[in-house]
Amino acid sequence: MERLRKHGLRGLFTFDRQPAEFELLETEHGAPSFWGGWNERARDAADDKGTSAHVAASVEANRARLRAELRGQINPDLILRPFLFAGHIPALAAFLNGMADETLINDFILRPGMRCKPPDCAAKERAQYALNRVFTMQEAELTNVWQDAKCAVEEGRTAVFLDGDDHAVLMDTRGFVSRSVSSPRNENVILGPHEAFTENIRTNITLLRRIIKTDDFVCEFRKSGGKNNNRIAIVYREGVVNRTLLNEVKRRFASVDTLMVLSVGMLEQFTEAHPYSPLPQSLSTERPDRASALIMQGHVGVLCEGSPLCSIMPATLFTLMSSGEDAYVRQPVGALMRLVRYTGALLSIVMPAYFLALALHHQGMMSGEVLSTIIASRSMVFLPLAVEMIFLLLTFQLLREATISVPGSMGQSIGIIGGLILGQAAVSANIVSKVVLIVVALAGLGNFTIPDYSMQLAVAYYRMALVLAAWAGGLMGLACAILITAALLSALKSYGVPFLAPAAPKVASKGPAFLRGRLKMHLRPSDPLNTEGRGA
Amino acid sequence: MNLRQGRIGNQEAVAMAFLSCIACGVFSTNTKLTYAAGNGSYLVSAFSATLSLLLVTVVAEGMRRARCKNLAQLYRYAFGPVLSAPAAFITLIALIYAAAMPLVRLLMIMNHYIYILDNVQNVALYLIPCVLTLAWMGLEIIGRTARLFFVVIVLSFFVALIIAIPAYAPYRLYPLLGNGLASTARLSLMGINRFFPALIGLFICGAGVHGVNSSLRCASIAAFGGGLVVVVIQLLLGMTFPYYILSDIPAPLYRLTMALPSGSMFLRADKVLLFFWLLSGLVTAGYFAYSGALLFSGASNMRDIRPASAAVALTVCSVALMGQLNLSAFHAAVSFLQDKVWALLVLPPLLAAVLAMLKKRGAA
Repeated sequence: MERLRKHGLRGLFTFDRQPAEFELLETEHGAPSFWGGWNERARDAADDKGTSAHVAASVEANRARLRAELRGQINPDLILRPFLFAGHIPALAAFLNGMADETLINDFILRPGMRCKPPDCAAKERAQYALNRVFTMQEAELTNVWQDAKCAVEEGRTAVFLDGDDHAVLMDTRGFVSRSVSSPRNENVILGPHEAFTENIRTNITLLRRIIKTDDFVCEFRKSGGKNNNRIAIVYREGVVNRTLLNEVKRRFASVDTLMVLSVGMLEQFTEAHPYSPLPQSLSTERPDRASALIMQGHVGVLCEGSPLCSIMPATLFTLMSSGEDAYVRQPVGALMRLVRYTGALLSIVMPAYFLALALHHQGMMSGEVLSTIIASRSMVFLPLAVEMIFLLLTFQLLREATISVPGSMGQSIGIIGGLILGQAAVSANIVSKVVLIVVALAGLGNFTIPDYSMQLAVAYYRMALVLAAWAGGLMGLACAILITAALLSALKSYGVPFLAPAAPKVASKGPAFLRGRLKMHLRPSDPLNTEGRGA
Repeated sequence: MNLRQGRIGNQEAVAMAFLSCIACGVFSTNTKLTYAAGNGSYLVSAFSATLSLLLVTVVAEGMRRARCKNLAQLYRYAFGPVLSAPAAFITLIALIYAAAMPLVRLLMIMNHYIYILDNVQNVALYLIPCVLTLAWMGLEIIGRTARLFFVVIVLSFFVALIIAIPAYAPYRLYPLLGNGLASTARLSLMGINRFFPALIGLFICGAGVHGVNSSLRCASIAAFGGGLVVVVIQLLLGMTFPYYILSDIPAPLYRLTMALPSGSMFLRADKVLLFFWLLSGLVTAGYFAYSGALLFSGASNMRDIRPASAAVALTVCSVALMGQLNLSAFHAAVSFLQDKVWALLVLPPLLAAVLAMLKKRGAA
């Protein structure tokens, strides 16, 4: 599809082109070169415009440039506070009102800046002097890159420019209001912790650090690639994570160039290799414990400013089908839970299509009692069986979407009302039959056993495809559709890792893929990732 | 080069060859010939599997000596650039035959027992997307799909055997040595076409199966395991039906599930199992179509496999369909080929291996 999109029909008939899909091979080592990032491209763009990429030595020049670039004349949020550093050196503190904490600026930047002793150093070392001896901020750095200084101001930090020095002092004064840590909304567990990520990236990293207290846990900040300059954080375990995988993740995120990035969900779409596949190729979780467990195993996590989710990559089918609760219950119970989950998912995908195939094409395969029950329940139904099935499946999706969109208790009410009243009314009105209603309800129930929301949506897609195949060709159509689906799933890769690993291809995993094994089997880096430190 | 090969692990390679051995071993049997004068099909299957393994061992030795990674390289080394393409074409024809025969039998069962009122063309149409998808997507996908369905398909064969347990009677195996030694030897030679394609396919895709040694190891496991399953099936078939009845049954395994009324009524296992067996036939067809295309592309120096794999896949499906139609010329060709196809399959690689061994070592 990607080929078709890029080259049109001509692409299908062009030969000798190797598919350029990234693949994580077991034999790959080392660190391939990193292909650049947003800042480099932004600097290039700045150079192209003829403007300097560096901070000017003159405070007035910096003030004018900031005012122009951040539209200071019509943007009252931009505060450009001039002051005299040590009583006689012209200086400028730049920050955004509302994004920065005024108390921090007043108490730890302006007051010490104005009252300090005159610096006993050269003019071009004033910023370094201020950083070392004057500003009592815990997170501060020097930069001479204009883009960094500007972005810092946009993020809520404060940039201080001192006359005669072509460096700016950047200090973390972010103080905007954000939601506090609360319980997860979609991934509830009974035995596990009840904390969820928030919209504040710093809080989210703290939540991870509280669980992963290792010296190899690394958090790299970078721009998301959107014009809105949102920040993302790539989190991983240095020395454990596969370097090739990490570099590929960085390369893909560095290549994002779009209008805006608001959440990790958008970033996932920009970085996935198979954008037309209904299946997710990364796992989005709102639970810090689940994200931490996967990062500990060698996965890479991505957090985005303003998004209460952590995207974990790569994600396989078995990762997506596991729940946060799995590790907290005893092994037999955990295994049973997994079994129920997979059975539910299988029922959800296959059962409507199987029923349709039997009822339409292979009536001889059903016993007389079952057949007469179906005939009796459909005696006054005017819709053809296949249309009835598709209608009910679509109605189920409709109810599901309605339940999600409306707020809490009202959503539950709509689910109950829709399920009971609409179903009963449809049966009474002879639009649908009771048997088909039960089949669709069971399929829907099975769908809810799947822990990942994106997987639930994907399953609905495949369910409908199988129903259409069964309608057309009975069990033959169903068998062929299942085979093609399996082939397509086998071809799917998540950041170079086969989607069906460790089952197909089989990797040297000692832990069971389907059922939950003993806990110590799970407490090792994930095999399909070929982590650097296997025993870490 | 776009050969869609990639790399597959041992389990994927074994699963692919194992399933193909079972599908061909069970559904490519010529019942009229095999059960004509006594029930020795289980012996024939065992001998055929062993012979096939011996033959691929010779081919592997030839490839090892010539330092070839796959069969196409061996052909080019042994026959030269001009003759390698015709030799590959002969093997391709034999592979198409081997891929189509299980589908012919499965289609026939489908048409006779499941889709009784439908045209066979309508039923056969469903094969095309499956075989085409697998052959087009390449070795990795075929291997992984085979690995995915492996346990389920093998279990489906055993379920059929378990259902019919009350019907087994050892006295029906008489005469024990089948049709006599000469006939058994002849049938064993002819039966090579049921096991050899699955094994030689691994050497055709040798580069993707991590070389000759790995291919031979996987082939040995597949021949032993697949051969064992086929032998067990044939043995139990022989214990269920007398040989003079078996020779008139075109689909003995399907009839096995119906040997007992209770067996066929158990969730209609007779019909449900058939669709699992169909999956094995489709995976086999995809595997052989891809292998044939890869061999031909390699021997004729084509740099893109997709035109060849699409053409071979469509040919396999067409042959499977023609097997159901009343085309006298086609049936005459199949009758002519069926007792010679083993030679078509075996001779080119064997000859290439022998030539490679005779040539100066390391000249590749």
